[in-house]
Amino acid sequence: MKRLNFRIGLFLLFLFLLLALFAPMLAPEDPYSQNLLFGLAPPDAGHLMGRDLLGRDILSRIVYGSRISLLVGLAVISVSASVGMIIGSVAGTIGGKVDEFIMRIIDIVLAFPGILLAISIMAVLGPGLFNVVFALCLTGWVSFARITRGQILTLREREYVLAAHASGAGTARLIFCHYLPNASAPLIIEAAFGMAGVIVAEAGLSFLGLGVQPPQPSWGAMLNEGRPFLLIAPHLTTFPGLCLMLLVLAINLTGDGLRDKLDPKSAL
Amino acid sequence: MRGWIARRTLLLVPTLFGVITAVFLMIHLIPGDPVEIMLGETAMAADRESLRHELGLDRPVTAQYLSYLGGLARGDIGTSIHTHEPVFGEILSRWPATLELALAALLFAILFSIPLGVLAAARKDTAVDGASLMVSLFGIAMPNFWLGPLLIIVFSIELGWFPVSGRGGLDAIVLPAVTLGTAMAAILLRLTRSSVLEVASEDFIRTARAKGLGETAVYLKHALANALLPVVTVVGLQFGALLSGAVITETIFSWPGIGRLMITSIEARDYPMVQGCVLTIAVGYVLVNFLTDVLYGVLDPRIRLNR
Repeated sequence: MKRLNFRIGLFLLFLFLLLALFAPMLAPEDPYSQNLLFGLAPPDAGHLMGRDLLGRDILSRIVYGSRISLLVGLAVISVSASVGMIIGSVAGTIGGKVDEFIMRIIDIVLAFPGILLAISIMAVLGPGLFNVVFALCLTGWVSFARITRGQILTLREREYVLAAHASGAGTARLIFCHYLPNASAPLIIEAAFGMAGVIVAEAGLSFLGLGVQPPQPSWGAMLNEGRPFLLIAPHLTTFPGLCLMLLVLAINLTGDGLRDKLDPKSAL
Repeated sequence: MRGWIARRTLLLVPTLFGVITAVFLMIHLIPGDPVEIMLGETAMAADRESLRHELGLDRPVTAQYLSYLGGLARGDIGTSIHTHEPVFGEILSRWPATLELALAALLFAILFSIPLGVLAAARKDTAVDGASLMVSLFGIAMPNFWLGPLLIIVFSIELGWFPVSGRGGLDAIVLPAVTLGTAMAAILLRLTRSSVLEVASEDFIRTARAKGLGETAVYLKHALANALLPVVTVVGLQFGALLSGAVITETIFSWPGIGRLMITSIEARDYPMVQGCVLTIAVGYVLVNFLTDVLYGVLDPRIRLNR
């Protein structure tokens, strides 16, 4: 069952990646092309997911929307993981007051629940794709830093690390050749689950009008645009919501599978 | 015990101080001019200066910080730019609605997940277990800003069972509570199942069975009571998370809580109000986490003895 779920997750994720990569070839229409005469038209043979208020093809906008979701997810996780690993390595390796200071900052960032910090940062920065990535990175590095630090604290007493240290390996060599490669399993798992969280957070910010701005086709913004028409045109919210859920499900299933493979103890 | 609680309380002080400082610095450290964002790029220079003066942004940062701390000590967290009323009073009037919603969501999550989690553990590897896994997978993956509109379409528009939005009466809280509580229910369901399964392999469960107790009694009287400890911790931590989830849920259902106030204040670019909302939600979150920590220590003496 677990292996099947992992395969389903990987398959779905692969499909979304293909969708994002080949969006110009796969989208039936230009996602920005308007046709006001057909505003809110329901799904039909020509437009499988119907049209939005401005007569734009929802399927095309969903195909292009996958680019935004995956781009934000990958960008935020790449930056957050890099920054978090560096900060966590510094805290774990140097220790002492530096470690104390970094841990207090981490405690403060963690004192803000969920996407509250991102919402408040977006409130000051103003909406936009770059700002979304920036706001989510500001909150995203913390978990990577904590995991890296924790891993280093357990690894630094291992014999092979002591041997490397005794043979003259410097701090940078210890971090990049010994600590990080051996701490990679929990970091990969965190990256997988973190990416699902980032994609939902981006969609949530866009849903609130604080993230990606129209006419860019973000799934969260599409859900928000469809909200006033729930009664007469439910297809406006159904399809972007469904795609968002499937993408998050795919990433979570893949993350579960990775955890089972990389960290069998926690899978029990 | 008292000493342990006192130490935990002392540790709370630097975190709260850090949160207060972070909320203050948010407006100063992030790139961009808040006055320009509030008034727009086309605003007159005189208007900008006037607002800058009104918000105290023309003073040195240290002076602003000290006056911010002084204000906090007096319960003054600023004045709304739009209503010119104290921010604290407005926020205080919105908290009961948010707490009501968060508690209802918590109740829904517990009532839904714990019985189903125990049942899934008792019927491991059966269709019931598989169904519970599916429910938890979809519950975690489903964003509340899609679930809310779906529930409105089905239960408000099609069936007419519940109102579409607003607060008042028991029926008005059902859909917002389910929307907010679903992700938590999904997490608790998985946790309860795995926790009960872990306890079910312990010796005292074997003894209970050997005494001739029925399966229902074994699971409800022995396994569940011992499996609930990690669930209590997650309930506490997730309750704090519900406070931030309420921002989106309150927006969907026009629920007049702190989250809705925060979003309308962001739209109106009322920075003192936004700052006040962020501050009180974050402080509430820290306090709930602290209480969870203390409760965990009270319930499990090993926790406080190990620290």
